[in-house]
Amino acid sequence: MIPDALQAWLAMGGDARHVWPAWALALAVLVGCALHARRERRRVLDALRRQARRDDSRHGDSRCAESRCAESRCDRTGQHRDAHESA
Amino acid sequence: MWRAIHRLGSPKVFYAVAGRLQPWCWGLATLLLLAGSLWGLVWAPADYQQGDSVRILYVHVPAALLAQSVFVLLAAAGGVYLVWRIKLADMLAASIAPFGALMTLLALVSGSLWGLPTWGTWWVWDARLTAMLIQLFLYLGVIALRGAYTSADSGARAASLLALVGVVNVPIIKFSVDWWQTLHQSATFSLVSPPSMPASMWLPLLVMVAGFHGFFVALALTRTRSEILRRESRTRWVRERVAGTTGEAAR
Repeated sequence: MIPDALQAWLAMGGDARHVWPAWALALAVLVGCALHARRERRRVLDALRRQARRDDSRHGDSRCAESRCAESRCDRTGQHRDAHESA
Repeated sequence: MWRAIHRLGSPKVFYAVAGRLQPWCWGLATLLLLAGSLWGLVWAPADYQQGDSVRILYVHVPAALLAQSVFVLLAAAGGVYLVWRIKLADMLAASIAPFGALMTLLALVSGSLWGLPTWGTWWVWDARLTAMLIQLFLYLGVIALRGAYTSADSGARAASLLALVGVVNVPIIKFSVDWWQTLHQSATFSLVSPPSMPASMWLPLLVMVAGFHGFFVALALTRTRSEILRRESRTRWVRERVAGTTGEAAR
């Protein structure tokens, strides 16, 4: 099934068991590092967004408390309503 | 020039500049690595003595060179942090140390795999190999020290100091093959003499060395940007950048 030339290349002149593991490890390290960096960036951004939402909701609550506003007034602004819902 | 360097020391400016550079670095590194791999695995000739096992050279040498380059950068960043207290230098150091350790490990393992068919053994306590193993322990020490303190600043200073002291091992690795009788062959590339191998072998090797270094630059930019976001999460500019973005959009 496999052409002879490809078979000969894969056999690496009898050194396949040394050459391929070395290259496979290099590939695994490089691809693994690239994927890890990508996932790390996503994780950091997600954490920052969660933190921003928490801060917003806390802010919203304190603004309500400070102004002693009625529930109806909070409901008029979308941000305050969100804050109450998430809290 | 000093003003430009000083400006780049600001996490906010670095974040923006690195964001513009990183797609180009990733692209260039991928191209170089693909071209170098094809060249090294398919078109480069087998060695007349070592046969095809010589193709391990194309991952072993770039990994070993990069492991040393990263350590020198780690020590430089440590020095900058200790003397000028520039926090960006420590963010960079924290981002690159694990990759340097991995490159050292890759150089050691690929070297062992190459040693089996050519030397008849996977390990000897040869000067070059031992110095490289010490470098792996130095990397692990730098990484461990950073996390060993409750205060982040104390950990950063201890790690910087170890990197500065440990950089003395880099010239020892480089000159070990000249200073001592070793089983390991001498350097392939030199600034003062032409390579000891034919162009059909050192050209793909050069492409792979450039590809590995390009990959490192791209990775360092990406990871340092994440580290900046993490440490500067309470600053106004990070909040503004993150607000209202989804997925990868926080450029």
